[in-house]
Amino acid sequence: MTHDSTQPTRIEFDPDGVAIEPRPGETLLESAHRAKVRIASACGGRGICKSCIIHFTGGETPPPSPSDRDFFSAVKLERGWRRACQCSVSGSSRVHIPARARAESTRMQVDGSDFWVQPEPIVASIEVKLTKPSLNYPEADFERLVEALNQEREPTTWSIDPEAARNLPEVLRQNNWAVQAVVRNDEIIAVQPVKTRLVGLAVDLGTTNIGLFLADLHSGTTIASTGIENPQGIYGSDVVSRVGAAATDADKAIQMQRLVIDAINQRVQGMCDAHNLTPWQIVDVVVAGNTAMHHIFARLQVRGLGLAPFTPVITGPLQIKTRELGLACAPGAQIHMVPNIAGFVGGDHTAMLIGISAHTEKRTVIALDIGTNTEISLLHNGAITSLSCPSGPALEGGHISCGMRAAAGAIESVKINGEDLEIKTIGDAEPIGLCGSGVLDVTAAFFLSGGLNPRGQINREYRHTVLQDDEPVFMLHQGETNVVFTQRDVRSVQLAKGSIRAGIELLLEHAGLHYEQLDKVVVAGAFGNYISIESACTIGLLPPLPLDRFEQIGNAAGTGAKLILLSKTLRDTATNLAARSTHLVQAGNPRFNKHFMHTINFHDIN
Amino acid sequence: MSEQQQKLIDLIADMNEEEAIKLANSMLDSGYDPMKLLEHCRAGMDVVGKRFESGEYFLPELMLAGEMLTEISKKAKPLIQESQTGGAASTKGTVIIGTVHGDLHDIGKNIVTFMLDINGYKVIDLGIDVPVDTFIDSIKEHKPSVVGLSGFLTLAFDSMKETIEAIKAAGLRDDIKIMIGGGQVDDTIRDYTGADAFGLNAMSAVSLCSGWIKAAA
Repeated sequence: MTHDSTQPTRIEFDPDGVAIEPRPGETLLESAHRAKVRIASACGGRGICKSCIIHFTGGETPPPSPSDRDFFSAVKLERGWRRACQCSVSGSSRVHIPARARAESTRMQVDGSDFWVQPEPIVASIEVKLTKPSLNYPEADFERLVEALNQEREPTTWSIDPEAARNLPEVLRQNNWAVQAVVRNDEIIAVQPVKTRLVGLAVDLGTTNIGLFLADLHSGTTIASTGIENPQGIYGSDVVSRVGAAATDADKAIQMQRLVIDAINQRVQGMCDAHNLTPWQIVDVVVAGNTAMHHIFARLQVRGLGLAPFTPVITGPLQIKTRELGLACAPGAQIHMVPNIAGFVGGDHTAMLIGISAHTEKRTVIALDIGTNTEISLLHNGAITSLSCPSGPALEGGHISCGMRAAAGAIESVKINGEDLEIKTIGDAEPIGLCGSGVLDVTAAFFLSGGLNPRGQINREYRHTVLQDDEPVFMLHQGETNVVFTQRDVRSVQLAKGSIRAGIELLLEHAGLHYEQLDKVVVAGAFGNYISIESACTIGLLPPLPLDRFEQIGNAAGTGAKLILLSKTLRDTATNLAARSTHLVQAGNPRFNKHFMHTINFHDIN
Repeated sequence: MSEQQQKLIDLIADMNEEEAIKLANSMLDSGYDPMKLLEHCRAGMDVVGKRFESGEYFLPELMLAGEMLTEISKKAKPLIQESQTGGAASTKGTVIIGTVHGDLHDIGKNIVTFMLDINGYKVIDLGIDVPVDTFIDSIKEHKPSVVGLSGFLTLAFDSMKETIEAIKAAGLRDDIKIMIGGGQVDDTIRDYTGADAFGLNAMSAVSLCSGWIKAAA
C-alpha cells in the first residue's frame, strides 16, 4: 500500500464542517473532542450507552467493533452507523453527527430564587494615600503602604500576598500613590486604583452543569450569571465514572481539573468583558460542588470516594489561592470551598441548605436536589439528616434510548388527551428526542393510561405501543428521527425513581415520620425546576401529597453559593450546618434495599 | 403432572407468595417428596427467570421469588436430609460468592445466590465488603468449584483483581473457576481482573456454573 503524503487523512464532521487529522489509536470520540466538535458521551466513552451514535456518510467506514456488532442491527452497520467511542479512523472519512448527539442543553438555568442579604464580604477595600519615596524617606513600598493602612485602620501586622507584592511598584506609581488595598483579615491580597469595583465569583460546580455568578461585593447585586456544561462530561456523566477515571489515572485527574478551570476562566472573561470588568477585579471566590467535583477541582485524591466506606480527604472548609488552581483572579484572591457533609453529600448540598434557609427552618421539610446523584435532607425539630442515593442519568435524559439534553427538539412534556398524545418540545421544534422532564411525563402518562402495568411492563395491546425488533416500545413521534420509549428506558426510570423515593422513605423512617407529616417538600436544582410535580407523584418519585406542599425553587445551590460569597455570617453558618448535619449511610443499608424493592414499582406505597 | 404440582409452579411464577408457601407446606405435611417439591420450585423459578428476561418481571419480582423460595426450602431441606439416611443432601457443587472489599452492593449478589441455591448448588454467601483473607479462608475451608466476585463500583474492579491475585498467591487458583459480575463488567474487565468469565445477570451465573461443573464431572 502506498501512502500519499500530499493527502493527509482527515475526518470531516458534519454539519459543522470541522475537519481534523486523526491520531493513531485515537477513537473517533477523542478525535472529535480534540477538534472541539460536540458529541454527547454519557458513559464517558466506555461503550455502555448509546449517546455517541454517529453516521459515516463518506470515505472510509471503519469495521464495527465486537460490541458495536452486538449493538446495531446488520442493516444499520452496513449503512455506516457506529458509536464514536467504539471506532477509530485510519483513512479519510466524513461523519455526520445526528442532532441528538450534538444537542447542548438550553436549560442551564443558574438563578434560584434571588433574595437579598446584607452584604458582609470577607474582603474589604481601604483607600490610602502614600507619600512618594524620597532620599529623606526611602522606605520600601510595602512598608509605606502598611504605614498608610495603619493610619486608616486599627494598626495590625500586615502581610502581603507575594503576587500582589510583585505588582505593587507599578500600581503605586501609575496611580500616583493613591490606591485601594484589598485586604482579607490581615493580608493584603491586591492593590488597585481607587474606586475599583470589588467583584466576587460564586461557582455552583455541578457534575452536569456549572453555574457562574459575578456579584458586586459592596451592593450585593448579581452583575452577571451564566451556565456552562461541565466539560468533564467526556469522562462520564455521573460522579462514579468520574471518580473511577480520576482515581485510576492521574493524568485524567489533572486533565479533568484543567478542563473545568479553563472553561470557568474563559466564561468569566466573557462575563467581565460584557460588564467592563477584568478578572483581576475578582477578589473572592466561593465554590460549591459535590464531594467528587470538590476534590477533583481542589486537586485532592478521589480514590477514597470510589470505594466503601467512601472517605473524603476533607469535609471542613478549605481555602486555596486562586492562582494555585489556575483561576484567573486578583493576585492574592482565595477560593473558599464550601464544606462537604460526607463522601456523597457535598458542598453543593450545604449551599442548597443555605439557599433554602435551613438554619432558620422550623417546619418538617424534605429538600432534595435531583441529579445523577440525588442528595436529600430531612429538616425536623431543628435537626438535619442527609443522605445521597445513586439515581443515574435517566431522569436527565441520559442512558435513555432517545434521551438528549434539554435542547431544541427535545420532548419536554407529554400529556394523553383521550386517544391522542399531546407532545410539547423545546422551541416547538420537530421532536428528535426526550429530555428529563419528558422522560418523567412519558412514564407517568403511559402508566395512567394503561400503557404500563404497576410493575413497569409495557402493555403490548396499548394503543401507542409498536413492535420494534419484536420488542414492544412506545412510539412518541414518527418522522425524520423516530422517538420511542423502550422497556429498558422504563426500567432505567424505575431504578432512578425507586432509589430517590427509597432515600426519602429511609430518612422518614429514621426520624419515625410518615410522609403525611411533611409540611413541605422542596425540589431544588435545575432539573427539579422543570419537572411536573404531578408526574413525579404519579410514578412515585415523590410522595403523594397535596400539590401545594411542594415547592420548586430552582438552583438553590447556586443561590446558596452566592449568599456564602456575599455574607461572612452565612459562610460561618454554612460551615456549622455542614458540621452538624447527620449523614445517613444508604449504601449497604438493608432498610434502603427493602424500601427500594417497593419504590421501584409504580404501586403507591404507604 | 398433577394438578397440585402445576398449581405450585403457577403460584410461584405468578408471585403469589402467601398461597405458594401455604400449598408447599401442606404438600410437605402430607408426605410429599421434598426433593420433588424443590424440583417444582425450580420449574416455577425458571418461569420467573424467563419473564424477567422478557421484561415482564423486574428486580422486585426476582427478590420476592427469592424470599419465597428461601422460605419453602427452609422447610423442605431438613426433610431431604432426614430421608437420606445419615448423609447430607447431594449438591451439584459448592460456590462461594461475595461482594468484594470496598463495595456494598448486594441486590444482584443476593439474586445470584438464591438462583444458584435453587438450582442445586451449595452456596456460601460471604456478604458485602468482603476482605481478601475471608475469601482465601473460605476457599480453604469449603473447597468450592466456583468463586463468584460481585462488585458494582468502577474501583471494585481493582478489588476483584486484588482478590484473584491473592487467591493465586495462596496456591488456590488452579482448583477453582472464578466468575465476576455486578454492573458494567465486560471482557476487558474480565481480562483485567484475571477472572475466567463474567456474567451480566443471575441466569448467566447459573449457566456458567453448570457449564464448568458438568465439564469437570
